[in-house]
Amino acid sequence: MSHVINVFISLQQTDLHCVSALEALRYSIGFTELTQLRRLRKISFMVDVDNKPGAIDCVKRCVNESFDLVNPNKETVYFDELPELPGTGWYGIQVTANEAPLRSVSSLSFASHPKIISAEQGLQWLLKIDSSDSSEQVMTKIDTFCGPTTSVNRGLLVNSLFETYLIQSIS
Amino acid sequence: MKKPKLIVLQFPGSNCEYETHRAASYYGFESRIVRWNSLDEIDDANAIILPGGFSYQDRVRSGAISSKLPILKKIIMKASSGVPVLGICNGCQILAEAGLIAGVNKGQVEIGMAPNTRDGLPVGFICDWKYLVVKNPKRSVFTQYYDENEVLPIPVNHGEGRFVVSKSVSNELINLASFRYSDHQGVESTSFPINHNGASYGLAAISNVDGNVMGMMPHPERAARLRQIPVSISGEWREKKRQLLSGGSDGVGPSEKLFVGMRDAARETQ
Repeated sequence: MSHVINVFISLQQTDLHCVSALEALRYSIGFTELTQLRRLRKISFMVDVDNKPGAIDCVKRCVNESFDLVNPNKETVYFDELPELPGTGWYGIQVTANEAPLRSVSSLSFASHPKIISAEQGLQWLLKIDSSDSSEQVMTKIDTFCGPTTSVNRGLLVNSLFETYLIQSIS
Repeated sequence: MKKPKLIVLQFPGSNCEYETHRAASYYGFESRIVRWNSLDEIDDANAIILPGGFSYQDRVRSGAISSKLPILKKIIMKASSGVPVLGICNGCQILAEAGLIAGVNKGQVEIGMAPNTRDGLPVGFICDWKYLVVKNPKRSVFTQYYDENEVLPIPVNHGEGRFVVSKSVSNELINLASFRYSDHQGVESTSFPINHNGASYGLAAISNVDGNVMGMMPHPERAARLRQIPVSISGEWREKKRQLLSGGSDGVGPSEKLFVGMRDAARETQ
């Protein structure tokens, strides 16, 4: 039986992708309800292990033994969970490239971990929205303002011509 | 005759603006480099080039942040008034993210510049000399002096140069393609290594519907003079380079007609 284990990797210092994207979304696109933006690399491992704790252990071993999946000097890794987020109003956008899902994930990292069947790399954006609207309304706004880029005035975090995305309500 | 004014836009992270400025000056432009936040300085431009580089460190995606800058809205207005706008490499990525190419549905993003792939797997950053074959030369001001199926050598230097097109553009691709990757004899291919980045239709450059905006991933400013061509190139340019090395004089490079076409179109907006 196989399990999918998501690994989230965040930078320990300021992420400049987020600084620029937050400014563009707030001041160029006008989505001022967006107050914070975080970005995590996401690697989804499919592991051929009977139980989930065993699958997580297998992924932890793989990540800790490899040199190119996570840089512990500047990154923090979260296994099968997102980092703790302060307060409420957090939403997410998961972005995955349609092609080249193994981008930057070296096959060398998996050579001694035969139970890992595949690994797909993507991005997890976390958005803090300061709004009194319902969750559905906020997700619609996120889709319009932050999601797939359709013009100079709309969308940024996804290019739906070669990426797929999923908008989530987190807390 | 008064030289047309060309603006080479410098974004934070551009790295080809000076060689682009030199190439354009050589071909008769009154060229100057203008920073991305000098909005008023492009008002009198007769032509605009967005040069190569890594604007905003390719944050989010290559060209994505730059495409949201206020100056892009001005460039869109200039383009709609007929001013020739050329995006080279990162400039092409910015034009794509801003919806300036291909312009089938005005203002809509119809082209994506995805990471290079080979058979669906990543190939990373590629820096090499490639051959382009000219397509639909009369549809674009940049290719107007080339002949159909003319072949030119030109360098490429990118990690995200794979053209991915929307359905609205895919129906028009045959008409809008300006350059496609080929071998030195002009034989086109959509597979590696001729099409080194996996671009749809082997696209290297695409023009807008009106023919005054073109986005191209190869670098014409690095093939503007004969002295820039390596001797390893095949075809007629190899012979010209050999003559230069045998004591001949420097001359124009393969992208001469592109700059001259742009210059003549810019004159019409003076």
